[in-house]
Amino acid sequence: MSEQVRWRAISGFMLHWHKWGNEHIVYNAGSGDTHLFNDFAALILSSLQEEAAMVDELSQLCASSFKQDENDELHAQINELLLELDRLGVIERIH
Amino acid sequence: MKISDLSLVDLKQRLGTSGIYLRTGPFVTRLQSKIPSVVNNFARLYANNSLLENIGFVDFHVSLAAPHGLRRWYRPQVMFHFDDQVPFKPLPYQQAFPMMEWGLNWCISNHAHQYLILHSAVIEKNGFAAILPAPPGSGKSTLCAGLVSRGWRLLSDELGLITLENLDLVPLARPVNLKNQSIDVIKRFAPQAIFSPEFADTNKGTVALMQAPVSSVTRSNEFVKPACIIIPKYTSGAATHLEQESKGNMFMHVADSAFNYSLLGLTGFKTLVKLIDRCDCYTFTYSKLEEAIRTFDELATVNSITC
Repeated sequence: MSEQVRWRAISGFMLHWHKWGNEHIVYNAGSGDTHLFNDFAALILSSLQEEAAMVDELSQLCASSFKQDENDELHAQINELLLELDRLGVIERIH
Repeated sequence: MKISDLSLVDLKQRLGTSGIYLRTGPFVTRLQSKIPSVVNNFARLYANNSLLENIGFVDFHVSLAAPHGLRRWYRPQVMFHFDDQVPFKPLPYQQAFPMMEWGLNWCISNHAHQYLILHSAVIEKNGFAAILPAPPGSGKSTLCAGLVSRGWRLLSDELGLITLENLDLVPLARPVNLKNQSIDVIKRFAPQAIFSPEFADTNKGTVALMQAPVSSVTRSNEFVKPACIIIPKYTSGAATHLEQESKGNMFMHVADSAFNYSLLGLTGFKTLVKLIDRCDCYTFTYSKLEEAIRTFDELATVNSITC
């Protein structure tokens, strides 16, 4: 997947959140689907609700939030997660 | 007035003509049938339910009848009518009474969307109410029948009704639906209970119904707040084990087991969030009914102090 692709969450008012510890329940009012996310997925998705971002920017955010090195493995994890969030219909590519 | 206040002759006459108006929990059903097994089992298993004489609004108009034509004589069948529609394919005639039960469940789960409706048993003791959401085959009804035979109140063995405004559990004390091996288990465990005959070769296997305890039926107006959600699982030979479940996992499990979570949309989501928020969440594995009931009794004792 191109590292230059920008992603954003689907229109913000459609996603409703509730958190219990490190579990995040997200209800998509557009599709009627409900998802259970961990902290990692929730951070990415909530960030994309605030503003669109590319993998590099999300990688920096995760590295700083979870105090881990920004490396190829983290990039790969984020790429994989973005594809999954896209499949679930909660984010979309801008270009 | 209760169903048992009518003689069997009167009941048969009313069911076969204008119908009777039955109150179960918050619902009024107009029921009509000339089928002897429906009349007899209804008289037996709904004896303590209220019969309405001054009829106001009726929620469900239901009748069970044999179809016209050859099927009256050749491999006879029964049809379930709801508001003069026929929502299901006919079943063998001897399954008329279980068909009535399944049909009544269908009426509620497909129409009573003023509630969040969970596929679950709901039981209560000393103000401590537990919701048991589980798929068929999990031992939910067996556990529920065992508990209500030992002093727990039956709110429902199949349909957990939750008000959207304030999360009250609404009683719907109707017969408990037992399947296959659980029939003999409960007959041995609660020999004093009243059972229907066994209905073999249904699409759920052999089924029998157990009358709801009188005290549960008479307390049908007493709502209660949920305190606990427990996913039961019968596993042959397993030790009795109650284990805390995460709220996120429980949310997904309960949403999956609800009849109308998706239909209620955002209201369903918000209601379920509030429900999970206020409840302790567990999974429960058991194989011995006495031990299982002891665990539930201990849970009720501990929690009744704080309820």
